[in-house]
Amino acid sequence: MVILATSDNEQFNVDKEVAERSVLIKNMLEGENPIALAVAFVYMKLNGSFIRHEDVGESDQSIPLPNITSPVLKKVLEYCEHHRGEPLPSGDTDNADDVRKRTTDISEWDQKFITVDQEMLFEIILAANYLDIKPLLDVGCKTVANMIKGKTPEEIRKLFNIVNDFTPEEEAQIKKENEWAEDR
Amino acid sequence: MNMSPLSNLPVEIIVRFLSFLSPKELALCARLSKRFLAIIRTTSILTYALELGKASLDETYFLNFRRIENSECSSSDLLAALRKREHGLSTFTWSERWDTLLKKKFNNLQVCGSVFTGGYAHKYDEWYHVDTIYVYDLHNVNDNGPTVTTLSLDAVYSGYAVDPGQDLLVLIGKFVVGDSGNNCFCTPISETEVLLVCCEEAGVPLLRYFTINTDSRRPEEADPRLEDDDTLSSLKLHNHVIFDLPFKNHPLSNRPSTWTASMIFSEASYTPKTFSPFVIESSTFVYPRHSGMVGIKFQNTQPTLFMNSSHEPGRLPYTFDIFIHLDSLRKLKNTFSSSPTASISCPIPTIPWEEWGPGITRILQDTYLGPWHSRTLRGYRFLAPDTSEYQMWEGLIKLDFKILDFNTNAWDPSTRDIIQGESEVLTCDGIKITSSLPYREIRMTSPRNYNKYRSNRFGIEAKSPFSILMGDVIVWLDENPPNDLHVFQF
Repeated sequence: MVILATSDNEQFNVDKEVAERSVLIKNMLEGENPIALAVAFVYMKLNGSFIRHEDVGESDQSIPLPNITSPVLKKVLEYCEHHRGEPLPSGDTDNADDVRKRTTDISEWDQKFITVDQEMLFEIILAANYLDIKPLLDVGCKTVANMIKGKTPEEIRKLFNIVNDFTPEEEAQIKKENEWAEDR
Repeated sequence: MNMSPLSNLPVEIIVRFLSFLSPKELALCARLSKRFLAIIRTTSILTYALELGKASLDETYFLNFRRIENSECSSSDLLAALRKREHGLSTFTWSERWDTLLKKKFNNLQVCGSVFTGGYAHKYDEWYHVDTIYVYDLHNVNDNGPTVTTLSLDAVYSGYAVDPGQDLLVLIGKFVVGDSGNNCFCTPISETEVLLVCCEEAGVPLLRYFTINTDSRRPEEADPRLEDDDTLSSLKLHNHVIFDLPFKNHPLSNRPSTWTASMIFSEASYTPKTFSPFVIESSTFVYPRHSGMVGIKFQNTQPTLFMNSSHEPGRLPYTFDIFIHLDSLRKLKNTFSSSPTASISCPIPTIPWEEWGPGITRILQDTYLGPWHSRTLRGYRFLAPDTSEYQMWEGLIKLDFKILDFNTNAWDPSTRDIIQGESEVLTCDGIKITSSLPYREIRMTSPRNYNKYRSNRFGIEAKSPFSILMGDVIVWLDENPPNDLHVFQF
């Protein structure tokens, strides 16, 4: 078991196999990646829970995840739990590219899983990015992409509360540059 | 301040989800906000997809992009397709090649667009690379065609463009051999052919045609000069991919249909020594699309050579001399009438200064930021080296420059000033940033070569990340110290 501690000081007991869906945690536990190890050390120091290298991976110490809150981690672990046992995408970029789906299709379970409010969606994306869980990151990013698809810029802005900081002249200019993309 | 959680995501995440969009959708996203626009414009993977999207709507494009015509697929799909693309041309006979060139390529010659300068960026693990370049000497043609020389790997380094935040390097129809610090630029004229523009010390722009062998891999090699940089430890070499993309609204779309490649070859003959400037002594950092440009634009059917460059932040700006004599290009255009194999002689004419016009007026009114590009400059200001933080700014620019007459015997920079203007840049916020762009000094080239340059009308030298084209003249703007990277796109 691995103990993960969130920023709001909640602790999660997680199977090692599940936690290792996160490449970050996997590297920490394996201690193979000196950078990940250093990162782990720094975080542990910051959290006042500095431990020796040999202790990493033992069950009596928790791995602090200082920028993830417990609701988000809970969600992320739900994903990891469901996908446990599936082959991890390799670090090799070529293979990663193959693993990455060619379309914005999302599996049914993932689709249901990611049906959350926007705030949670972005939190999950950020957490997946931080924890280095590429499949989850892609699920999140595909979801955002799907939300954008088929909408006008105005609709997208409204959906995501994006402030249009172009002047009307600038906007007209950009619209003109990209007019090839307009439906015709 | 934008309170949207979406647009406050880190750049790499934004790039990631944008890459799931089709070029058309990407074009719409570019209109969302300045940040989105800046991200799309500075991420070559996305820019590429955009241009590909445009290209697929353009009937005039001539490269083999038909495989991936469908502009509805996502950017990452496109790139995946491109990565798997097979390139050939490991061996060929010249006669076959020549036929191909005549029949297919040069009838549709496009020498346009930008090139990336050579460069690298940290943490990217792929590196596109050219390892063989054939140089055909069109002025030394025998029964088998022009003589061919192979440039060695040592002497030639490819341009390789790096896409921040991506694991893929993309060359978007923009390509350079050598380094802008070494007085040569390249622009592709087809998938496997590159036009090299070499700015010679003699003051003559040499235009060379190259064929690039894209067939071999050298995964075990890396640029030894980069070894000291620990961020490059994971660099791998891959086949490079060179693409040329048509530009729908490019001035070349109105080019005369009968033009052929030889029009742009100068008469200067090739010697190995000519290419010595190819050796790269410094790498230039790449911000996709903005770091280096070269090309020939046609304005009122006049070919105009243009260049633009930037330097790597945190490193010393390089210095190079640019000597353009576009009349030679014009002359070539006018004199060329027979087959492309014909040897063309086009002496560099000596044109009296007076003939060029009454200097000040003409520069300011006619050629200053000539009509084919906007007087509005658009740029990205990188706030610090190696950061993805940047601002886009836009504004009118007035230059402070001196133009010096070559056609005088006594050269004295302090007394030969012909024009001196003022400079200021208005940002899109209406803020003058004159002081942060100290491009004050544009000097004539070093006196040591003065006599050689006399046959040219005009010469400019500056240390610069930035140049500006004024009609026939390229002025390089000086930026010092190079802690901000200012890149300008016309």
